[in-house]
Amino acid sequence: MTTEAATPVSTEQHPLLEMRDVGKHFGGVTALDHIQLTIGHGEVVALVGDNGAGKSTLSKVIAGVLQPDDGELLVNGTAYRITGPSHARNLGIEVVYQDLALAPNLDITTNLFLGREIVRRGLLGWLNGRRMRSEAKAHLAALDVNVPSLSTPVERLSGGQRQAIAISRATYGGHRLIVMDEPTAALGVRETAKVEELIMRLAQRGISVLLVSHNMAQVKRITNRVLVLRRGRLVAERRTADVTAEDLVSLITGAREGD
Amino acid sequence: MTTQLSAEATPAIHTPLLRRLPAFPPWGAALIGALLVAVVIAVSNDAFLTPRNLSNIFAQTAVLVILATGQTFVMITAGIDLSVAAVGALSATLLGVLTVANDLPWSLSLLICLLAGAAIGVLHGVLVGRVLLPAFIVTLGGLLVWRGVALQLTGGINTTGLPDPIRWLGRGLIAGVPVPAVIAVLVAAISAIVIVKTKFGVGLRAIGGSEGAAARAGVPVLRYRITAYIICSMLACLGGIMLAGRLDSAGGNLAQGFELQVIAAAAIGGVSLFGGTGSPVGAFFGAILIGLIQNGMNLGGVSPFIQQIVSGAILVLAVGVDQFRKYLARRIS
Repeated sequence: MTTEAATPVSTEQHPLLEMRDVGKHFGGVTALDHIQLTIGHGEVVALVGDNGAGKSTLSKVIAGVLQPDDGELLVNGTAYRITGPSHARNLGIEVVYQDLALAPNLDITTNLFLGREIVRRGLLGWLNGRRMRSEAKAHLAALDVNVPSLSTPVERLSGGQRQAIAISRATYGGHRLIVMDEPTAALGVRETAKVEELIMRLAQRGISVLLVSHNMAQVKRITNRVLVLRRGRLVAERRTADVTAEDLVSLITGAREGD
Repeated sequence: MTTQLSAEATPAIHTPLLRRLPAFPPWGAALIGALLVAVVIAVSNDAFLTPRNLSNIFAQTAVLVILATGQTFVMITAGIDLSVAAVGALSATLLGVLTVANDLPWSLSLLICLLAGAAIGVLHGVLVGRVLLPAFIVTLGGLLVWRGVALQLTGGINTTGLPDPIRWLGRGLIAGVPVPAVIAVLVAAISAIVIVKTKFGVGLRAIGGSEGAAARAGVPVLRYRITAYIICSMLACLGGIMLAGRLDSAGGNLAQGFELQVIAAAAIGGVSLFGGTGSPVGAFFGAILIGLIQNGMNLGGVSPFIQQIVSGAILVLAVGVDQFRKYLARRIS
């Protein structure tokens, strides 16, 4: 791990996230092989690849769940050894998991603030319900997420609404990079469209999204750039506008060689 | 799947009453049940509304309320504590040994008993939360072990002649109100506020709803879970000592089988056995309902055998109503 990293001058000067020669091995198996990538501010980047290509290992390294064996990871130009999920969170990186994102029995406000509740000063963990409700309302309004009532238990929401709440939760508190693993896998057509709109709104607000997806039509619709992983190696990087869904599939399967 | 993000819930059921049922607090059924039972007994039996009988009900139900409140903390995390009656018996026995046999001051003895309860809670919590043994097994073992320890302490002999302040906890009066009733209401009210209004309470409910989501959100799952078992065991100690104070008898056979009534009271009050939902308010009304039914049947001269049948049927009915309510909630959204 190098320590000679430059101090960040301005947040916009450096890419939000940069990986240099990142490698990860499990026993003799190379899960990630010299990964080089950057994610810019407000960029929606797709991460595609077949099962076992290393997508989830890569997202776990970014999320701090796994630590890389080689290479370095820079956030805003500064090299970090991310020690765990809470460290990643402090650096502004948050993950939306497919499941286990929300407590189904708790209401929307409580889920948005779970683990980081606003409490009244001086009193032992006494919740400031009014402030959490008003902040939740403002945050959801800013993201244009509409829900029936903030006091609805999450289990009573539709799949799309739930995903919208999970994403809103991830973006609360100034997070800059949201890693999403198949955010629309379980959703119908109309709900998928709503979540895709939400992802695009995040980008407009300067939040970057790394989207792990198997859905090439979706990748074409909402991402700026595509990274293709095959057997742990980043075999291609394309501007989304420059490739067709068919190109992507051939790159994923290896029918077409990468770069 | 036809709902969209901005849409309101699509009504699947149109009857207004049925639509409103899920919005009903989970303890509503226990409250209404308690009121109905009270009215039925009052109409059918003149002995019910006498100050002496009411005060008797309060004193008897108080211990049930306190233990069911402690149970609620554990059940909300999707756990269960079968050892509460045994722990209560152990702490009462220990108190008897310390005060009567060893002449220690009652205040110091009470403190030692509560600390022993806390230690038992830590042990249960660590075995469940860290060693990952099922709560059912850990506390079933605890039920046998702690009662065994209590019996062993005195060779199975009950201690009587407990200090006055301890007897006061069980049968004293404050401005005409039984002391145990005052303690029970305070315990239930403070616990209800803790569950609803604090970070700790939210954490417990999150653990019961989805432990994985709670952990990922940064809820200190292990610490909160151990704390829930500590609260449950300490309240069991308090209840056991109050019961011993009322009877002026402390021994290993105190409150045999009482844990089942405790769990029934919590479940009737809408505390889910699967975790995540419920409040000490529900456990309170559940305990009152059980206390009223027992009192009514005692006044009416119903045989203890029939009483047992009725208690069991009510438990199944109450949890059935709760499941139906949840089913309606799912249908509507």
